[in-house]
Amino acid sequence: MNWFPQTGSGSITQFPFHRRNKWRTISNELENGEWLGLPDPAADRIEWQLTFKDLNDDEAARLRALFVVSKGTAGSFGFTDPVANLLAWSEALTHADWQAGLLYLTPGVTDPENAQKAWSITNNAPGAQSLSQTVGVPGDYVGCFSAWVRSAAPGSITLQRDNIQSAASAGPVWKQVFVSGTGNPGTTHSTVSVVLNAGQTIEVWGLQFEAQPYASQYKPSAAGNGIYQETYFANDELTMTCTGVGLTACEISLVSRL
Amino acid sequence: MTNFPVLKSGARAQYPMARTIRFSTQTVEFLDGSRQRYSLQGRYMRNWVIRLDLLDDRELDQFGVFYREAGNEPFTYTDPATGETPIKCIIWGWEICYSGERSGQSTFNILEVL
Repeated sequence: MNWFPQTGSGSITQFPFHRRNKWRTISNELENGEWLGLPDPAADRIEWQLTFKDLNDDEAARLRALFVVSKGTAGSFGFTDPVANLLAWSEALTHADWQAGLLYLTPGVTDPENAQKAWSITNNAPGAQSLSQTVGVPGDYVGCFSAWVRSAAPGSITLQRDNIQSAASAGPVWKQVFVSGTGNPGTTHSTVSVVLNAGQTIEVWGLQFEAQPYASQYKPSAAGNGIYQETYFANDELTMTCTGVGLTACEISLVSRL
Repeated sequence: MTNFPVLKSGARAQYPMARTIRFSTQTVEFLDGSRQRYSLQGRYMRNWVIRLDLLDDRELDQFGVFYREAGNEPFTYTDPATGETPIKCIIWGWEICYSGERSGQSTFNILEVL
């Protein structure tokens, strides 16, 4: 399966971009004026308008190659929402989408926004344990897994995406930590984890995974979304404008089926 | 076939230059909202919009002569971005603007044909 290429910096698109959700309703207006409507979920789609400027030759070639391989609108490819939190249930860590191993999870901890949506995580096991989630983002994509952490006892916290790790100190003040980079090349999924050492307790909030190199503002997530495996070009023409030596601009319209 | 002229500098185009590749797809949408899409052609076709500024009278005349000679007939074109040649093309549109003495502007829309 092909995926929409990231730019050299690891982002999916550039600002500004537009997203339009479209729903279809099966409606029937009766003689007495009564209106009956039924949702038609199979026709739900998202339209994206992406604008790129100052792409280098390699970036432009990758976009063009996807268009050629897709034969314009005919073929589908994968696309990730450029601004979505790609994790599912970011504030329900006992949900089945999360694998907690032997960790003990307690909800209701005060978070940085003074709500009670943070979690306390304790590792009573004799070895390191991790809280993990597997996301349908290809390993070749640059991604950033981030979390806000706090620990009553100063210590180290490790965030992991597939085989890359990032360790950061955690203290009594909330702090955002992240791990950024690509995952395992060629894989169709990525696994992100918070790793706790034996005997360690931390508080965590704002778990987020994004298809970009650095963390943006936290967005709570429920059921998994933001990954659209059936996306196609909205039209059969792709215009690329050479704006300077080795610089290209283009606008791309995509349609993602929900 | 005639060849598309080059500027007196030897350049084939100026910035910005737009290149388009085009496929043809038939889409069937079913009652349940799902779609099937079929590609109608095996390869893409290209077109270029060549906008040339600050042309002197001789260059403008050169393009005018080329336009009259080529007419609706195919001519040989070289992709200014990649250098690929020969590409069989026709002129899909031509505009010319005389903005001053020895200063004109010309825009060609060049379409690849089989």
